[in-house]
Amino acid sequence: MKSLSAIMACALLFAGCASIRHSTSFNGVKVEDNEEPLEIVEVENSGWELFKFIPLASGNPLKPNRFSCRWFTDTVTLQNNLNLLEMEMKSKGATRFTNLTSRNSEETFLFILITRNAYHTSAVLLKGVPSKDVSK
Amino acid sequence: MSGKPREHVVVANYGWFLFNAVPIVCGNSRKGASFPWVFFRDEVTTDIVHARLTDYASRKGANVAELNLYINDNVLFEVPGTSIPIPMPYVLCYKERLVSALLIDPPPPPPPPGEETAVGNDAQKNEVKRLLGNIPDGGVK
Repeated sequence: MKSLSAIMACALLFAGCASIRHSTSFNGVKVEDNEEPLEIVEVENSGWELFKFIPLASGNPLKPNRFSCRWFTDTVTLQNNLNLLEMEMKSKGATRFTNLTSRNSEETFLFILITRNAYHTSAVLLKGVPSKDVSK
Repeated sequence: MSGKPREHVVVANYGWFLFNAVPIVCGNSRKGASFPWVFFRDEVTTDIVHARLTDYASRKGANVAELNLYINDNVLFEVPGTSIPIPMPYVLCYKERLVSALLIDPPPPPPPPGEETAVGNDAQKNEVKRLLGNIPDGGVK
């Protein structure tokens, strides 16, 4: 029973997570060339790896903001982040975005024994019908 | 981006959390606060830093460009003075929310109907007006 509890605790600790955070507090301020912003979005997907290449767990990109992860699978990729961004755009009815940036962050324990890897993508979703391009 | 840039602004708040959920201490986001820290209250949120930046832009009468949101959540606490993390993640966690942007001049309002002129700078528009003014009523023969 104790060993099972320890295993469950480790599983909880080392589970990955995919999340989408957003803010709509623009206070009437326009962005870029007088564009009307919808929201600013930050997508994060994180996972744990052993020796930096054996995936232990990572976030489930199909179920963001929920306690759901994919075991022994590496889903921490740029493509999955963009898929999550597209999911958020569809849910908010946005067809354009601007200021798209992505970056990677990493934390390690005992050099490379256990690594927590995270991919972040940030963008500003815009309102309105596209005038020239689908994306700015 | 067509507006003239005025200033580059960065707004950030960070704090320490127990088990990644219980706030211990973080920056005080209230305007004019005398004490820089608040205890047992979570003010490390995207809404707070974003609202502070857009409020500043609104007071300056500027538009916002190059708006980027940066979120940093560290779940491995390191022994102070070393790079040795304690073996249990999610005990003492560090969270940071940062928004950066460029404040730019808003584009000029479009001219009212009836006063629209051809595309060009002011010197060119004045020259066109002068040349058109010299044409007699019967036109050029």
